Amino acid sequence: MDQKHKDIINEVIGNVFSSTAFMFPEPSDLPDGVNLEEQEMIEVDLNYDGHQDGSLALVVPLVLCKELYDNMSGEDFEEDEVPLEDQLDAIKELLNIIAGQLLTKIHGDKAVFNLTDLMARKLEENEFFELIENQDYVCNMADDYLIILVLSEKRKEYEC
Amino acid sequence: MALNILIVDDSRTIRNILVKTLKLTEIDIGEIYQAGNGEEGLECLRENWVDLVLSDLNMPVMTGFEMIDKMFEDELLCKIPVVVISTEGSVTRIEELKKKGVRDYVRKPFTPETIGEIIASITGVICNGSKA
Repeated sequence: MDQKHKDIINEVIGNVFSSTAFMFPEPSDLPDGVNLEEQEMIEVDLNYDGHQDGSLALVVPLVLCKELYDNMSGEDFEEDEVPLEDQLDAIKELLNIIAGQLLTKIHGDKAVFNLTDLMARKLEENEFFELIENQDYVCNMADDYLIILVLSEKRKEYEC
Repeated sequence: MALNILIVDDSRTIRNILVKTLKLTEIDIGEIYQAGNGEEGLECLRENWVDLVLSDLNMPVMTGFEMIDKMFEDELLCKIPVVVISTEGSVTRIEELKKKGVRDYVRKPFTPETIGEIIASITGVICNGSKA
């Protein structure tokens, strides 16, 4: 991923988190010695096709999902008041908004895309490290929470 | 007269935000119905009197596009104004929706003011609760 795309992703993450959830992520390197023993990581992803085929994945700690839900709802719920399904719904919707903004910024506003349903799952520690070793990602930090976005686009083959 | 509004979005978080947003506009709201996809939306429209539909596009089971097509094929449902609230950023697709008869389009994330202004312009209801 080139720097131009990374800059666009950082800008979109900043805009979407601040306008939707009143959080202000800053671009960051992955902190040294990330310890996942004390925090569950969640991955939400979607695929898209049309003007360009690809996928987007957002990886965040589960505790951030509850905070996002609170901020998006404008209420401060107790931890056990928000079902996991609703916490995941909040982060899925955030990725949905990020996808809409990002694809337009990268490919222009005439490009048409079809998005698949969003899927959320727990990311095991080994899967997390596998992902950051094998994928090109952009890392942001918001209130000490990791926010990782992976954009992967397939190379289009054109007929001559 | 109070407006009955149907919100169609697969995200419960967004439906909750929209309910709060509608209450913030001070428009005289009657019933707010909610549906998680286009199929549930159509079912609700057939069972209830609805003055305005706010709908997402990308949803499982039946998308907003399909629901809107089915609404415009129906001689009663085609009269209900539809506002699309979605992450869709393609002007090509937004133009298609407007050609179909969709009254307006709001891109997520939205503000209460935008929603209020659009409802006001479609229904003629002033946002402070009085009628135009």
